[in-house]
Amino acid sequence: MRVLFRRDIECQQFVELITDYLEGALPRGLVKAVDRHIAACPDCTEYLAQMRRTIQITGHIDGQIKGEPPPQPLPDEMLDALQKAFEEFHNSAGA
Amino acid sequence: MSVPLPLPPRPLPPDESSFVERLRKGDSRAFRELVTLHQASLIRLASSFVPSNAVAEEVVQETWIAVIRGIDKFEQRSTLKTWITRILVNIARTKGVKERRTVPMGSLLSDTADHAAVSPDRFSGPPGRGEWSQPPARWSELPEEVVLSGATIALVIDTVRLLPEQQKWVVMLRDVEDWSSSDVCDALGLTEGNQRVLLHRGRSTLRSMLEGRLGVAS
Ligand SMILES: [Zn+2]
Repeated sequence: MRVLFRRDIECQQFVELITDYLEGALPRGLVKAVDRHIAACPDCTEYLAQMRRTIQITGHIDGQIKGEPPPQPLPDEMLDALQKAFEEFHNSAGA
Repeated sequence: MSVPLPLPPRPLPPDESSFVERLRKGDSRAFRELVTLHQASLIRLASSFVPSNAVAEEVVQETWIAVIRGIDKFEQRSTLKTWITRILVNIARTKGVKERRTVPMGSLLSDTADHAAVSPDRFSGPPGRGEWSQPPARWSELPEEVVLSGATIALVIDTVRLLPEQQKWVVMLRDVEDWSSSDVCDALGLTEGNQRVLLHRGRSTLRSMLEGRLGVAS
């Protein structure tokens, strides 16, 4: 039988605390309670691994965020046009 | 024998003020550098909030024009990167409001709705303090090529696009663009606490969508 500490947390609480836990934003007492829970609970250990995986997979979506082909690098003529806008603004502001 | 002079401490984050000064003086080389450095990330961000790459390009163009006009008023209380992104966020939001009427936004919850990370049905025991009755599957046992397959990535892309707007900004900046939480708070005008709530909801939704694909129970 598991001994419950007064500050013990259960699985359903863990899934709501997980982001604060990963962000290092939990008070120390709760960090200990979470650590204790994970150590004793293989399901929440897996949940934590899933959340880390989720973050990792999300980090892979850059450059393919749309279903269509990724945007092309800025064409020179657009860069030139922006530079012209920049120069015109400065000439008119400085004049 | 001469004693080497101590080197001045290297400022962290790198000092941008001389670069900003060049921009203010109208140095167009500096401006080109700035555009080249940030363009890809701005396009990527914008295109997840508006319906097409064409509109995303418009948003980014308008952002650069606003940067040109506003650089004199930039007070350097944040980095150039977060300041530029804040401008982009505002322009994309304005455009997004116009486009939203024509784009069905799916059934995902709003930013303010109270929302459990995992359905209460999957726990048994006292409400709010339950233990898993339908525990998460063991993704760790799945082959890497399934976890990181094109279909998995596509699912994440679709889910991110359907997140409520504020959650989407936070997830995009934190987990896709890899920004720090303080930069995200700065660019979006959020408190640290709010930012974490939005991140939590966004990530929890993504995890649960992935679970639907990668397996619920073992
Ligand atoms: Zn648990």
